[in-house]
Amino acid sequence: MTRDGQRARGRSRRRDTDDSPGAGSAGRGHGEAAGPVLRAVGLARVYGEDESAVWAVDGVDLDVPTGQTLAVTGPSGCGKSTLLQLLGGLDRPTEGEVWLGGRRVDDLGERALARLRRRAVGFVFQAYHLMDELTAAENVELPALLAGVSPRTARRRAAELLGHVGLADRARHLPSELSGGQRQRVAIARALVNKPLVVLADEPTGNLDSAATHDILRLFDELRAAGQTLVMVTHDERVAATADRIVSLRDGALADDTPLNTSLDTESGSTRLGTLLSWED
Amino acid sequence: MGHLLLMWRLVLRDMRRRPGEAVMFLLAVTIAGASLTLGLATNDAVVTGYEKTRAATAGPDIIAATTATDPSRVAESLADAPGVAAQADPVFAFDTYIRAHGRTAHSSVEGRETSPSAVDRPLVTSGTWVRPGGAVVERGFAQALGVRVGDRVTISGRGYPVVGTAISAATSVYPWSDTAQGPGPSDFGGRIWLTSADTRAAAGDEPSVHLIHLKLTDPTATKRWQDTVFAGDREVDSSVSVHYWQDVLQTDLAMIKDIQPALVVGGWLLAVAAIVTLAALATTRAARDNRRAALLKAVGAGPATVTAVLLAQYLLLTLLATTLGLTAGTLAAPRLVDPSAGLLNTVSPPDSDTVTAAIFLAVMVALIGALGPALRAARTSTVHALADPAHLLTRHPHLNAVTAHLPTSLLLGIRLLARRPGRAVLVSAGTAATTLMVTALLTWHTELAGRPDFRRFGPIEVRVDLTGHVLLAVTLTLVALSTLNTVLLGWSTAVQARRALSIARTLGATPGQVVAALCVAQLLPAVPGVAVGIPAGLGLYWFFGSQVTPPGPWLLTAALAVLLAIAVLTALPAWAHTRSPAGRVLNAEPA
Repeated sequence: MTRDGQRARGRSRRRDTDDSPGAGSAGRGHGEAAGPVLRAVGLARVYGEDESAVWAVDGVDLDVPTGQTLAVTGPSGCGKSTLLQLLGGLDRPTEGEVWLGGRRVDDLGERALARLRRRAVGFVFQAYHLMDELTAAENVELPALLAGVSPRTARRRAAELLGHVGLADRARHLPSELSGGQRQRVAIARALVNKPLVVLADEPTGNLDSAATHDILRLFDELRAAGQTLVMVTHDERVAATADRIVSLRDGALADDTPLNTSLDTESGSTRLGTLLSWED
Repeated sequence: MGHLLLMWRLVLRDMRRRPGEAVMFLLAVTIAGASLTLGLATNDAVVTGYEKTRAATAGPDIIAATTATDPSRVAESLADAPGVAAQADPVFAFDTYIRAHGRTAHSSVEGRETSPSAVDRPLVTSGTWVRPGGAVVERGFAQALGVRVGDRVTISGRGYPVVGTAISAATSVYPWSDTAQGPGPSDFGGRIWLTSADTRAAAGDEPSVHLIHLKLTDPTATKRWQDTVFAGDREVDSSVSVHYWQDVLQTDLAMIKDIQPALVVGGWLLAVAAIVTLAALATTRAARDNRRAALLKAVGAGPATVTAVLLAQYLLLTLLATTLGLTAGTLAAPRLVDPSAGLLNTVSPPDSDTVTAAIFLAVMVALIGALGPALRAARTSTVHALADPAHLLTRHPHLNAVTAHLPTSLLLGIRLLARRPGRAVLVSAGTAATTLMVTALLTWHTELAGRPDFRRFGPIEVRVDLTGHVLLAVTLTLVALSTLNTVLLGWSTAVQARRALSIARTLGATPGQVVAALCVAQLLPAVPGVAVGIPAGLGLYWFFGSQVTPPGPWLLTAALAVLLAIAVLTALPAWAHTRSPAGRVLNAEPA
């Protein structure tokens, strides 16, 4: 399909969609009843101009219901990370809309976007992106302090979360003193400290060995059980298989949308994690 | 509260991780602030020192000198004059050459009683007050002669043991403290006290004067008092000359006339060097700061918070540097303004103008050096900065085409220069400041060489020495800062260009060509800096001093020396960078 064709497809999808979030057709899985917490409508991101224009994300429509774990997969350079950055307000779309918690966010100013990121979105990056000069606990406290939470409360929340991710005894260590898996767990605790509507994880296991990958997936499984909405970009099909739903991107456009779990009571994330572990074995 | 804690935490940790950067910034701004404070505080320090000395020694408001053999009639007339609050007995004094430690010096010798006088009671700073057969030497004079308590001075062929040193506000500081040269202003010389009997014996047939020290009911109305007392028919005596305490102070202030511009101008030049230091630091920190900004933004910090976090460290250090600079300048001012040690060594807090100027200088340095990079980091796309925190470069296709025909080193050097125009401005500004000061120092020495009368034992020499020392100190400080800046800028250029230069090496450029390219990138903007610095140095010297021009070969040698120093200081970090194999650099860095 040509680029024009893809764009036409994106536009036609937008025409088919109501203006209000929650009316999307793509949302499936166990969070369906709760309505989409995150929604993309005809989302596009173009780099360059005219002849050299590259459509990194091309007319993506996507609804993510509350509590769903969504895996975004696809080959390298297909626009997965760009899509995640657009959904989290780290980058601005060239076309289309992003709705988060029932509010349109793609047209917000920088300050409003910053507030959005600190209150409604938690990011987990492949490269962890922790502040090197802060301890694990201080890294976790960071978004809470930015959100105006009192230092005492921020400290308490950080301690709880680090305990939750199994790093209570590493709270005072610098990132350089932690293993890759431990750093990623700190990053997850940091993403959760402000109780965000959605956690966006970009290749969260991309830099980790098998054991650390299992730890991170266990954590995600717990988040899922607690009803946390999670969108993770991964090129690892085994990791994607632990999600409720997988969407595949190809050349920036949505190529496939597969629900893996249709009910909370059917195959749970834990079961799928078990499957993953058995693959590793 | 949370924001403040966060900011404090980030600032503190960053300084702890890289104390060298913080110390460098602190040092640069403190030196500039101290120099400016010194320049601005010298006037106040002289005034304060004189006032303290005046208060401690019951300094006179009026110093009357008469050549009359019998001063009693003059003394009575003055005592009866309106507005006189107190009067001391006339002091017999004469002017002579004295010898000490093999040196001959001009001096007044004053006869005093062992009991304190009503007005002008010199404050003994070591030893005791006069006693028969013993001399007390004015402290500044004693220092210039190298005389201490227990040494001997020869007056009119007779030796006197030095029993003490003292200071007084009745005359200006050495070398303007000889007031016994008859009516009219004194030129140069010191001051020695003997007992009255010893003085008269030492004077023999030498011409003498009587000094009468007065206190007025209104010390500020000295001129009005003189106009009233000496006007027309009420004129006391035509042989009487009168000096006010204000004249003494003005003469003391003349001591610092030449050093003030050197310090104030030097302060601003050091500020320019400090800006270059800070900007060079900011350049080396750019990638790290961009990444910090991106991390903060990713977790929800707005542009204002990011800018504040990046600036907080500089502003905190600026505050500290201002305080240190003001303190250092204030503490050093009394020593500098009173090189002859004739005044009480007092330290007084800087006035509001000095504080304002020092704060302005430090904040200006911090903002010019750090605001741009902080704002750039805050505005940089979070996604780009997280992916590659390095500064994005602008392409110059036209320049690339033009330079394509140049030799490799020149080609690479010019392209490096074009990629970082801001750095070129920094190099130019820093070089101009250093060259300016070097030119001023050369001009000073040219003037000195042309005026042998400057090099005699007397008042001008003291001032000449002081001015020379100040000029040399400011120049050396500036050269030291510029050396540091050149190495820093050379290092940061090499770090930021290492990928491009490694690619050039893989394509066949030799390490020597790469080093030469980095030198070219530093030298080309240094040339206009030298070209501006020399006339600016001459112009400033002519404005504040005499219209003297150093010989052409001196200036040419200085210009070449500055450029050579820049080339060598750039080559060192450049050479260090070319030691790593090109392949390793390319493998270590993302595209």
